[in-house]
Amino acid sequence: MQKDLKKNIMSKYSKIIVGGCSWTEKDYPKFAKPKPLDFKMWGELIGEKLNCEVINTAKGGYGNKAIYHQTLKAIMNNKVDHVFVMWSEWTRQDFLLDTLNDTEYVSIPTWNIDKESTISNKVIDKWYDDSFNKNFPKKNDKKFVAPIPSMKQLIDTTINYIYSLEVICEKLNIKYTTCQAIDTCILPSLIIKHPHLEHIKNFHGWPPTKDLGGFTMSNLLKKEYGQDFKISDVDAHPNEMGQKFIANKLMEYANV
Amino acid sequence: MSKIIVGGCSFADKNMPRHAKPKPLDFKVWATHIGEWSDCEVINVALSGYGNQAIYHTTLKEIWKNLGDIKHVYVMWSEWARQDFMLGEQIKKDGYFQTVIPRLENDEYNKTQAFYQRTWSRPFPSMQQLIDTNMNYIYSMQTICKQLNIKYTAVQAMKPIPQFIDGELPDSLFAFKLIKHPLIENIENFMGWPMVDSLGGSNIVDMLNLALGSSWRISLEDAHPNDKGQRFIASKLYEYST
Repeated sequence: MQKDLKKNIMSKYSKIIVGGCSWTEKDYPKFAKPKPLDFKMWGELIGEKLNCEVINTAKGGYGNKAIYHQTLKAIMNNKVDHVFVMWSEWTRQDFLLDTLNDTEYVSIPTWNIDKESTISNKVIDKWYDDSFNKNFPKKNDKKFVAPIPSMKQLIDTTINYIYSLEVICEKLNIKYTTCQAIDTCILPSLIIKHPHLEHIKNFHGWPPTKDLGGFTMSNLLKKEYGQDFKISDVDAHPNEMGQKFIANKLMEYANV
Repeated sequence: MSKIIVGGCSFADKNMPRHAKPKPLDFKVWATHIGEWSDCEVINVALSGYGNQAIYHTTLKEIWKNLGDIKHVYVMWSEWARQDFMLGEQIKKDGYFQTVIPRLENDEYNKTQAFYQRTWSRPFPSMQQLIDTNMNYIYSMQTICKQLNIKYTAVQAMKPIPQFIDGELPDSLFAFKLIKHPLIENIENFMGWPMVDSLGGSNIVDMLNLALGSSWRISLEDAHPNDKGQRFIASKLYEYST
């Protein structure tokens, strides 16, 4: 009887959507370092367990604007039973470009947290200056300085994207399970100042920083396996064991 | 006093008359009229040049700040081809975003393509990509306002995709792609939806042209709505939203 019940639960899904960055990208193992590997990512593992089609919109490097748009586009174009999203660093900036090899966005990191202090990446500072100060088509030759966005700006826009996807899934009666994949790269003292953190209701580990009582998937993996979940010393992405852990964790959250 | 939040580009920017050409002017924009008629404080975050990503984030930021005290949110969406780049807070006086406005006019489309090639070695996004991302912002704003129980009214200011290249006619291609978009039937509280004449919709410029001929323009060289045009927009939006 238990077997029949399990079968019934498994057959209720026909399609799921998966969004995220390299921690979710279907083809990530092919790019593993020091050498390509072959294993299934958490999205495909969940699809296998639920016996359903998986639309995996994740791409390595994506920031949260790209994740929001690509996931939402997939939601709008498919009749879907469940959406799973693992959000990326909040400091990545995504630029929409004409499609090349199925990748619509180029993403760059802006801020990095270096131990206790916050630093800006000088390479990125220079890239911003070259792109937006020197090359940007300005009206009337108007000059402006073009620093990278502040952490406060990045918090505001990221929370907008996270909130939007949550309310849209709710409105469309689509089951939705979400969490943070890796460190936000934002100082916790700034996240806590956002006036409406409590509006995000359906996010496991919210707010996604240990200092504020939350967690990321990376935190959970470290707690469970130490460093053993990593592909190698030179590739900190989750290996096959790590991917299985993520799949199980997300299915537990999703109650499926 | 309850508040009205207003988002948009130059067609809604309260400071637009000061930058009128050939000379600065002084008149109220549509949002200020609606505020007076509704006896509400107006928080107008519209800024000249903004594209819809910038409009979405700046409007939503004000919604969060004023939650619990908002009577209505009005968004007048801008051209869908504009691309907004979030830059640091040092440019705060001009807003957080710098925007490229690709158009045939002043060779802006070619300048934009050159900027994209220099910066990313890739072309400017395709029309389908522009439609997908803009529909996401429009649908998200509508859904969030509904979720937060805030009244919301939207409208398109001008033609979504301007002419980029001489001889090219983007209107029919845009209409063809928009009508196939899965969200087209889900957009609500949007005056003139689906914005395009051939699909039975209209934007603010269409409505102004139809009602006022060319008398709504500030001048021959400035195609923004003058005092008369702003009052017309205010009446139409107020009537539609109340």
